[in-house]
Amino acid sequence: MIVDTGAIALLTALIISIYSSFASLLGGAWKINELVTSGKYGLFTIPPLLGIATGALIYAFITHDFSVKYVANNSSLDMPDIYTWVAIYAGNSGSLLFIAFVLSILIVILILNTSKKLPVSSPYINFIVSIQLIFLLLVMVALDNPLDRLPVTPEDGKGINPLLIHFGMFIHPPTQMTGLVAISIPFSIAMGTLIANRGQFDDWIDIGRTWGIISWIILTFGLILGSWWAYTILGWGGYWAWDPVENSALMPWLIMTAFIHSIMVQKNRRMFRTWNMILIILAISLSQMGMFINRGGPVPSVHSFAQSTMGWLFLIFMAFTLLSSITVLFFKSNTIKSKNTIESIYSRETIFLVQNILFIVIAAITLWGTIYPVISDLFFGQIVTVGEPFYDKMNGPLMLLLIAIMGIAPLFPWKKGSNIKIAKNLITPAIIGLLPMAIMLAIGFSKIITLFGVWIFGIAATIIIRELINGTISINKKYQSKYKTSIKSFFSLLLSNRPRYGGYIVHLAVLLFAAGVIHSTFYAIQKDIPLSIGDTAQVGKYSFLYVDFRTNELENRSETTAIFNVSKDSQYIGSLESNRTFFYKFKIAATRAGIRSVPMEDFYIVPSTFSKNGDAVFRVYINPMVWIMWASGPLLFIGAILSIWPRKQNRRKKS
Amino acid sequence: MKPNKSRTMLTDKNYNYKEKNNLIRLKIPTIFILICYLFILSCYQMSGVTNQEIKIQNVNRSLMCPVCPGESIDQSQHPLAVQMRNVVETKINEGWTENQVRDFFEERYGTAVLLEPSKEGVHLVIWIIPIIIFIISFGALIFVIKSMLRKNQLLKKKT
Repeated sequence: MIVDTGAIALLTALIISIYSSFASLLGGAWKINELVTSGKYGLFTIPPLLGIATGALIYAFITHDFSVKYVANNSSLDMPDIYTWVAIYAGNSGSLLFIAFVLSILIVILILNTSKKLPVSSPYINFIVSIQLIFLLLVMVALDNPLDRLPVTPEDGKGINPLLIHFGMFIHPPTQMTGLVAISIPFSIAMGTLIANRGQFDDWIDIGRTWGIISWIILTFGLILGSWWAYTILGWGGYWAWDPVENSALMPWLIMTAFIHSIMVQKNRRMFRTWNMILIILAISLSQMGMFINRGGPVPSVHSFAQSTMGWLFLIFMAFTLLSSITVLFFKSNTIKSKNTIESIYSRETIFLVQNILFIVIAAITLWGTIYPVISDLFFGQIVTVGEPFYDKMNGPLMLLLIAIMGIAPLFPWKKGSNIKIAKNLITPAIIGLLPMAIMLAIGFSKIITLFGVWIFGIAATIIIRELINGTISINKKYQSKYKTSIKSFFSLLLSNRPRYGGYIVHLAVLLFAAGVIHSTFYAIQKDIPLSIGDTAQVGKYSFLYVDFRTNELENRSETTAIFNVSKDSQYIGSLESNRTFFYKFKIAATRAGIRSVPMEDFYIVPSTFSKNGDAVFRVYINPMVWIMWASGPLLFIGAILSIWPRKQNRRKKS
Repeated sequence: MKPNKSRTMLTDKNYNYKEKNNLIRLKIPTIFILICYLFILSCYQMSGVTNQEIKIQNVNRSLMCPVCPGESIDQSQHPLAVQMRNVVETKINEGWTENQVRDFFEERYGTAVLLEPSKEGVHLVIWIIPIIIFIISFGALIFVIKSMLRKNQLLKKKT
C-alpha cells in the first residue's frame, strides 16, 4: 500500500515537473506572471511528493518487503538493520530517486533565493533546472522504477555488496551525489540569465558564486570522505587510486574550482563572462559524464555498485546538455560582450586565467586516461588499463605547478601590477622557503621532487601568512582604539574582505592537504610480515606484539580479529584491533585496518587470510602526515564558508 | 565592493613603524614553517624495508588484478591477487628484474594486466595526447592574452 502510494507520488512528481517547466518557460517568454507563479508552486510540490516516494522505498527496505524488485536486489534479511535505512542509494534506480529528491529540495531553495533577486531570469532558471529534474524522473518512471514490484515475492533478497556495510555508507555516497547534482543549480542560474538576456547586468554573479561554492564544498567533502573510506576499509593504506569513478567525480570538481576562481574576475572586473559560461557548462557536462561512467560505464571500477544497462542514456543526456548550452551560448554571445579587458600580464586576471587553463588541462588529461581503454578497445582491438602511474606522471607535475601559482597569486594585484614589485615581494618568501628544504636536505632527504615541492610549499605558505599578518598589522594601526588586541584585528581583517581571506584560509588547507599527499606518497613505509601469536615485529619506530586473535562465525560471514600491543620507541602506546571479514555469499573479504593516527604519522596494520591457529601475513604501513591531510578538511570548510558569508545589507551599500 | 581597497591597506606607505613590523612579518612565517617541517622530519625513520621488498611492492603496484575491477594486486584482497603477489615475490627473490616479471604476467593475462600502458607502438598515443593538450591549451592562452592586451592598447589610444 505504502509502496504503491510512493509510485503514484513519483508519477505525479513527473507530471507536475513537466507542467512546471513549460509554465516557467512560456510564462517567462510571454511575460505572464500567473503562469510563472503556477510553475513555481508546481516545483514547490515536488519535494513532498518525492519525499513520499523516498519514504516508501525506505519503508520497503526496513520492513524487508522483497516484493519490491529494487529492495530484493539490494538488501537481504541478514544485513544489519541500520543499513536498511541507507540501502536506497546502493543501486541504480534508488540512487536516482535520492538524487532527484535532493535536487528538488535544492530547487525550492533556489526559487526562494532567486525569484525576488533575479525577477527577469527566474522563470528561465526554473525552466532549465526542471529539465534536469524531468530527466531523472523520466528515467525512473519509464525505465527503471525503484518501486516496481516483482511477479513473485522471493524469500530473501540478493543482499548488498559487503564493502558498502561501513559507516562511510551514511556519509560518502549522499555527499558525493548531492555535490554532483548541486552543480545543476549554478549552471541553471547562469544559463537562465543568458536566455533572459540579462548577461550584461552581472546580477547573477553573487548568487551564482555562492551556489558554485556550496556545490564545490559538498563535492570536496564527498571526495575527502570517499578517500577516508577507502583508506580505512580497502586495506591498501592508500586513499586515492585514479579509479575511473573517482576520476569522474574529480573532473567536475576541477572545473568547479576553476569556475569559483574565475567568477571572481567577473565579480570584480565585469569580464570573462563567456569564459565563466563555458566553465559551468563543462562542469555540468562532466558531472553527467560521471553519472554515465558510474552507471553502466564501459570501464571497470571498484565503484561498480550501481551498474545498469542504461548508462548510455546518461551519455545522450550529457550530449544534449552540452550541445544545447553551447548553442544558446553561441546565439546569446553578443549579449555578454565585455568592455573591459586584461590590462597587463602582471595582473590577478591573468593569473586566474592561467590557473583556469591548468585545471582544464588536468581535467582533460584525466578524461583522456579514463576513456582511453574504450578507445583502445574500439580502434586497436586491444584491452588496456590506464592506472595510477599514468596519472601520477602526467597530473602530478601539473598539480605542483598549480600549487606554485596558488602561492604567488596573492602578489598579483587586480588590473595592473608591476613585475619589479612582484619580484621584490617574492624574494623573502623564496628565501624563507629554502630553509625547510635545506634542513630536509641536511638530514638526508634527497628526492628532488619532494625537495622542490617543499620549497614551493614554503613560498606559498609564507606569502599567505605574510598577507594575513600585514593586513592584521595595518588594521591594528588604523583602528587602534577600536581593536585593541591583534587577535581582534585579525578577525576584523578576515571579515573585511571575505572572498579573499576565506580564500586564503582554503589555500592554507589545500597546502596542508597537498603536503600530506606528497609525504604519504613518497615517504610511506610498507612491509608484509608473517606473524604467529606471541610474535613481535618491528617496523620503523614501531614494534608490535601479536597478542591474540578471535574468530566470530556468523550466518553470512566470518569475522577474524587480531589484537596487537603497539609500542613506539619501546614505549607502550596502546592496543590495536585489525579485522578481516569474509562474506560467504559474495566471496568477498573486507578488511578493517587497525590505525593509530597522530599528526605526524599513521601506524596502519591490516591482515590477509588467517590460518586456523591465527598465523597470518600482516601488512604494515607507516603513512606520514595522513592525519594532517584529514585535518585540513575542517579548515577548508571554515574558509569556504567565510568566503560566501553574506555581509549585512547596510554595510554592502556603504562599500 | 571595491577590490582595491584592502589591497592599498597592505602597501608599505601606511606604516609608521615599518622597521619593527618588518621583523614581525619575517619571524612569524619562518617559525610557522619550521614547526610544520619539524613535524615532517620527525617521521623520517629507518624503515627496515629491504630493497628486495621495495622491488616487489613496485611490481605489485604496477599489475592489475584481473578479476577485481579497478584494483592493483597490491591493493586487492582477492585470493587471485594474493596468489599473484606470491608469484611476484618468488620471481624477484629468484633474481628476475621488475620488467621481466611484468612481461611474464603480460604474456599470461594480456596487456590489460599492466596498470601503466606501454610506451611502444599504438599505445604511445596515450602519452602523447596529454602533451598535445597541454601545448594547445597554453598556446591558446598566450594567444588570447596577447589579443586582449592588443585590444587594451587600442582602447587606450581611443581615449
